[in-house]
Amino acid sequence: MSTENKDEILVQDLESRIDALENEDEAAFGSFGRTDYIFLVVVGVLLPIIAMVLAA
Amino acid sequence: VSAEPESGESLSVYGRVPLLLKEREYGTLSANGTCFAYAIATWCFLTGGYAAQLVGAVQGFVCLVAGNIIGVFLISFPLSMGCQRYGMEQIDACKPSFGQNGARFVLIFYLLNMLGWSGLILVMFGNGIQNILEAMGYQPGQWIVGAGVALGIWLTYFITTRGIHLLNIFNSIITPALILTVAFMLYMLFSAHGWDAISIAAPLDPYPDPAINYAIAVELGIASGMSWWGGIGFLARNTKTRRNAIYPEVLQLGLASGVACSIALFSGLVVGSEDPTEWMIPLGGIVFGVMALAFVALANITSTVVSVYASGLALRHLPGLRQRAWWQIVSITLLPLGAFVFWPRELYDLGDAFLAYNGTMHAPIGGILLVDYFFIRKQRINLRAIYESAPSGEYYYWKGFNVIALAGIVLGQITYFALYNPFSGATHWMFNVVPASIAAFLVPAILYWLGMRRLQPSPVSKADESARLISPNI
Repeated sequence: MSTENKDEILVQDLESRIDALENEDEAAFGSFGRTDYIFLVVVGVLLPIIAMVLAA
Repeated sequence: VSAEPESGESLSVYGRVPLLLKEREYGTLSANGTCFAYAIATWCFLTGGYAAQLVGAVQGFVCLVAGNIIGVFLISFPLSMGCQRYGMEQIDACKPSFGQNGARFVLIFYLLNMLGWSGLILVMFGNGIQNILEAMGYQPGQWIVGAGVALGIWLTYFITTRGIHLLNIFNSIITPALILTVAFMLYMLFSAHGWDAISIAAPLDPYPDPAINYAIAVELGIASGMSWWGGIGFLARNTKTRRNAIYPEVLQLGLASGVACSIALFSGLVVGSEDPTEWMIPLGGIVFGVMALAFVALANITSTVVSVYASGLALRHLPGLRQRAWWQIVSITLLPLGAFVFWPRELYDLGDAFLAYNGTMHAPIGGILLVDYFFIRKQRINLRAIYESAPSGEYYYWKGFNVIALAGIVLGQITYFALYNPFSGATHWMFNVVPASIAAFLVPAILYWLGMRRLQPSPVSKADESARLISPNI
């Protein structure tokens, strides 16, 4: 297969992937709501800061 | 546009096309398993050893666990969400904020991080060989460490060029062995010494001011968490759900890695050495110690292979390297590591400064990506524009660079060094209140938010299927 043909196939594949991902139903990527954000900020930032202040 | 890499190498393995949901491998269990195996790596030993120089067990434990969690969360949240939603590789995920060409600056930091860690753990491999030989009664000179690094580079080349299958075989043996080694170290620490001895062990080489020691240990913990930046996108783009993209990273790369670093910290304090290869024999005796040392030495190779593999993929972003054969890419990646063959001790001694410097490299990028993905783009990006090199592309900005983001990186570096210079050890009084990497995260984030509000990029609502790529950069 020539380089040009390979490039063409590659770009077509890329275009179809972009279309598929951009138009995918958001629900297909799993739920992620306000509770997740609050939980992550508490566990990922607030609790570690409190622990580090207490240990100082 | 570039052709497929040579030798029939698969683009799904070696390329950067966005992954569809049906192609992704990681569910909840496998995402946690992969992150856990990634987290319990030999660089945890180095981080724990550096912390042992400054603080005792209790303060060190808090700094390493809490710092790791904060560092991982701050830099992985936007990347995880973006790479999971769009299936893209992480340098591509930087293009909306940094621009098509600006993202290559991020690539430089990425490569510095990966190759710096690789060099350090290759020296650890050389030290491991030296200590095994000494335990067996031989007295090799210091040259054995450099020779060990050279052997490690060759082994890395051998495994990396034979593809991901051989790496997976090695990992399936080494990772459980390393987890057993860490568990064995923990058991020996508590059975032979006990918590009382661990908790009162003095730090190895602290500064006169305890507050500075604690502040630097906090910095090491956060910088250690931020060091995971290089692996976030690879993991997240392979997950099927958003929760699987972020929770395993915080839980495993943050919490589990922090605990592993802490076990290393305890070992360093009890044995009285920051060098991980000197802990195993005093802790486990000659037989178990040499076996553990051998596992750790081999684990250094697999960790290096993962880093070199990721670095090689990242180099595919450079136009001149997109069509190169994989063995050539690997050779180019390994070339800078040659310095560690000739100056292993000198470069190894810079390891703690390098670890802290990871905060300088990744904190500003993390702050900018967080603001960009959540507050500027509202979690919607134009995936087509990621792969569009034409000047009309949405993420082309000025000659391919978003000057606001690049100015943010410079400002972040200045902020970091104003608070703490990891090479000279100089600190500002504010460093006792605000960790340098947190300041270097926040200041560029605020600058970027203010700057981009003036540019007002329009949020993407729905894909325009009639649009086609003019100049694809795949």
